[in-house]
Amino acid sequence: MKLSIRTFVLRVGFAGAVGVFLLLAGCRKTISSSPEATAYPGDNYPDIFQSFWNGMNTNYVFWGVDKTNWDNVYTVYKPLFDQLTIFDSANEALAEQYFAQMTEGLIDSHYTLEFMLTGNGFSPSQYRKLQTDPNYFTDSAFPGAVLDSLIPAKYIDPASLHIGTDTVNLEGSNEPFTAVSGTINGNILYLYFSAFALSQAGANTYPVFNYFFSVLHSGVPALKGIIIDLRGNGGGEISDLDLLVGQMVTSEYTFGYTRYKNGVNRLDYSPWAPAVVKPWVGGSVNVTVPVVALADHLSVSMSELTTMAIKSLPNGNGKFIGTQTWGANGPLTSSVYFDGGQFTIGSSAFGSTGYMFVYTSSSMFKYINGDIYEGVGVPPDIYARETNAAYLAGDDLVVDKALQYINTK
Amino acid sequence: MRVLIFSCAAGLLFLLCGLQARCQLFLGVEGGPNMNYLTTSNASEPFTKYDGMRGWNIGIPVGYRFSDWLSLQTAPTYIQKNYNIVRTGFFTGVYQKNYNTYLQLPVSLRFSFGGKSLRGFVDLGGYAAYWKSGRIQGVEPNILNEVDTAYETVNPTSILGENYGYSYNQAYTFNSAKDNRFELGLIGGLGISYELFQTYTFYLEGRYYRAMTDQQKHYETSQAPRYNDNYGLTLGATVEVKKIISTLFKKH
Repeated sequence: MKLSIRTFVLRVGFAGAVGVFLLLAGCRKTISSSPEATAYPGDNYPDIFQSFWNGMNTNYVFWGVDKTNWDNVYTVYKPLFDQLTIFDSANEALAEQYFAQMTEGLIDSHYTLEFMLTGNGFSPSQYRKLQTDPNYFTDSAFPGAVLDSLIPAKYIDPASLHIGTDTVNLEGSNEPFTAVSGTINGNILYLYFSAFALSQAGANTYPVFNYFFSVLHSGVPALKGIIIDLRGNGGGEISDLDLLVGQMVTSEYTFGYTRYKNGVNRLDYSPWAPAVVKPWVGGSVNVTVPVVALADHLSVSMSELTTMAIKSLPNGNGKFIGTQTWGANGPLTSSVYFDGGQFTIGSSAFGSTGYMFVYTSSSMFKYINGDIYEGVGVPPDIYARETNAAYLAGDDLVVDKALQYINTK
Repeated sequence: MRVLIFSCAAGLLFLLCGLQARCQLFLGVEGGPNMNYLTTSNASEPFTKYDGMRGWNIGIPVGYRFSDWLSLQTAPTYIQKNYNIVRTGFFTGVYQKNYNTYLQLPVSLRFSFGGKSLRGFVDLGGYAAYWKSGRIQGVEPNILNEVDTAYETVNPTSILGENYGYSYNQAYTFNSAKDNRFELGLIGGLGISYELFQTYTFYLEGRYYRAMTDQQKHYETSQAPRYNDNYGLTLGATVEVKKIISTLFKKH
């Protein structure tokens, strides 16, 4: 009798425990499998919205720093897109308006939406700057006017003046590429270039860079300082960092950090990797004289990174003079290289260019001091801004400030 | 109601215990290797896979044997639950090994069957764990450390030919907005034991720890959950507490 009770209890107890175990084991949440943003068909507005929202969720590299409530965006805008039942011009206008409203607060200052059906675009950072200051783009005399008629004529020693313009291709569009170099007062080396496209320097601009680097390497006996003028520079190729700044150092140094997305969820990030400047493979010199970066509110992306690289020169001889920069310093490269960054939606329905291209940073940048300047801009060490009045009077107040700084060193 | 259920369960256990000659408290030590997998979705991560990784665990089993076929036990355990994120194809060479250490408290019932000394058993129960620390070791492409700065325009065959890799091996910094450091889960185990002198028990067990809670807090809509699935091989030995006491206080 004792044995049969024992057997009975054993069997019932064991069966019950197995049952509870299996029941509970099946209670785990289903693993959702949101497809890539590019994998949605995109043949209707609700689908376009979903692919965009998911793409941002996965690819945007500033979540955690950016204060935009992306879940709230979903709640508010999903019903609105659900109401857009067919593709026509009225609905397209509404859709573009919604997309702009959804993204207008994003801090990524590279960020641009390109609507392929209409050719329209929307840049949150540009939108915000114009909201704050309608004359943001027009109240500076730089770069065109100052460069064309002031610096070459007034500041550069005539015998040393090198100036040229070529056409380069930046992200698919042809743009004029101007470079100016020479000495000021015989002992200050000056370089201006309009974009980071040094690898594309042609017949007219190559001699300008050749002159600058030749003087840098030969070491003008009494070289007192170097001015790198990045005002109005919209950025360009990352590899120019070593080509330019790397020729002024003889050992690698760190000036900041970058991190990337490494998972599908919003806060999945890689560890911070050091952003380095390496001595250029073609040769470099250890520059100890003051190196001044001139940058302004129209200095974007690579010109901001270069400004920060100069500020952090290992000899402590770098200085940034000018005004707060644009605030787009998250490095950006082709979307195939990193988990995050730019993406296209609606390719299945609209062809390879898709319905919309989302231009966004591939990584987040943190300056060596721990500050993140995305959406904010790099603050100058010494404030100086050109004005129309000064220009008309024949002065570049920013170059004046740089010369004054160098001459006090 | 809970008190009633608890009282009934306790009464049943005492009844069972009373039917048996061997009601004993035991304790011991156990440990062994494990293989952990992170179960998640990487549908939107091309050229990425999550591989399992080996780890190990060590614990101090403490239990009460109600009968020769039923015991209740726990084992405060130090356990690693590691996994590896591996990029493939053009991205080969990029990876991140995640070494995660948990302090785990399982509670399980052991159902034994078989002969007098050599017996088989099944463990069923649950556990609570605390994610104590983590270490990440890997290589990632470094966007601000390009390989070709001399414009040689040679097409790279891998991402690490485009950007130098950044190798890291560092403590994992927890993100309070993201990381869920408390884990609840289920235990299932199957093993064999050998009893010596009716005092010492040695066992070898295959054990499965199935996390039922997400490794992340729920912080976003459409979040892909992450669960640890841990398969271990545990070797252990226990001794009757009564035997230890009698040895310690034995009169010479």
